Amino acid sequence: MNEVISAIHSRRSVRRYRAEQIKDEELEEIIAAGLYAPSAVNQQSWHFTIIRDKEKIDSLAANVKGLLHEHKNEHVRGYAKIEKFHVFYNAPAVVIVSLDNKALNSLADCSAAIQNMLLAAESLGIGSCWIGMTSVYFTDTSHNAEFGIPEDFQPRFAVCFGYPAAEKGKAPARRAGTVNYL
Amino acid sequence: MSAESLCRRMRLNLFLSFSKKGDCMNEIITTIENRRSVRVYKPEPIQDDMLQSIIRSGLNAPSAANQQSWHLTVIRTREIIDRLSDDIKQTLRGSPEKHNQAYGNSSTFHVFYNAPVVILVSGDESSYLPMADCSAAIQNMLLAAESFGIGSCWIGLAAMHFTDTSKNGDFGIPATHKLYFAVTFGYPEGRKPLAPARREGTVNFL
Repeated sequence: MNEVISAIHSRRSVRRYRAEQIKDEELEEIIAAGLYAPSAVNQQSWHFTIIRDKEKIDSLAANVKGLLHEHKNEHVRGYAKIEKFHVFYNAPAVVIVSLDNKALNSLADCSAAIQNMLLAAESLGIGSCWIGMTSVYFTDTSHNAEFGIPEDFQPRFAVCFGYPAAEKGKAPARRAGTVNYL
Repeated sequence: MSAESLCRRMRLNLFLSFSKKGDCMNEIITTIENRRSVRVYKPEPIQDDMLQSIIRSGLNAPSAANQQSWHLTVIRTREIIDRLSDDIKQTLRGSPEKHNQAYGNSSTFHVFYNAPVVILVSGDESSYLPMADCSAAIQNMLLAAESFGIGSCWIGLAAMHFTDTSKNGDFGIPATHKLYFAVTFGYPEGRKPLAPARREGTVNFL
């Protein structure tokens, strides 16, 4: 097993972070890894917005959490009731990932870019979590300007990064029957 | 570090205050940044233990609410690969878009670039985010392949042939799943070109 395979298999979502900010050069490696994802006909249809200001992170987390009460999914509504729940798990760095809806398949492009960032972070001992629930706040592009996101991009995911504050758990079992051979 | 494993990243001037050296921090980041799509393959099959490791890497991707909404169909039979390529080309010939027709009409074009292994990736449409789950799984497989010196190409054209689930049965794909992508794997023939330049202005800092 080489380092790449072992990073792929050892990486887990981290939901407890140390307060300490990750280093600039580590963040740059992570972002560069995202930018080097493949994309449909090389459209590179992503936009990344990096937030390291605790007040901005907390304020976005509170805004998202405030909307979870109305979520159609009961499980997601449950998070809103947990007093300590922070949408970004108090991570010191958050990257908002926005899709270019004019592109061929921006959801795929951005997902590949995020997976690259998660693996780059893992390789540097930095924990990460891929967050979908921010989409309740960014239902349209009306908040783009305050985050410096181009107006034709749709914020879709957030990824939080920081040094992990707890030991990693085991990965949940893989579902059976998801591969067939011809 | 061999020349091949040196990071080929071009200077990125959209970043933070420090200046970027020419090399990446570790093998994982180097692999991420050096990986390119491969469209010319040697005919020899890839080793089974490596193929299994690539598949396991895909299955170990994260997924929304851990739904693991992917299904992988692994094809290693030349006749099945060639026939599917021909069938997809026939669909492309009927496409309203000129560039798709051109692919369909090209006598030399092979949808899977004659790769010895093709994995069809389909997503369970009743799950939260099957397109994202499948894309993360594919990216893991591409990087795992790269780490073994195996080339790969992420193919979107195949989906045009699977607009509904009526052909699923032929390929053993569950009726709940929709085919999104195919991925080709094989040993690369020829040298890898440099990555195309990254678009500017795709990152902002708050």
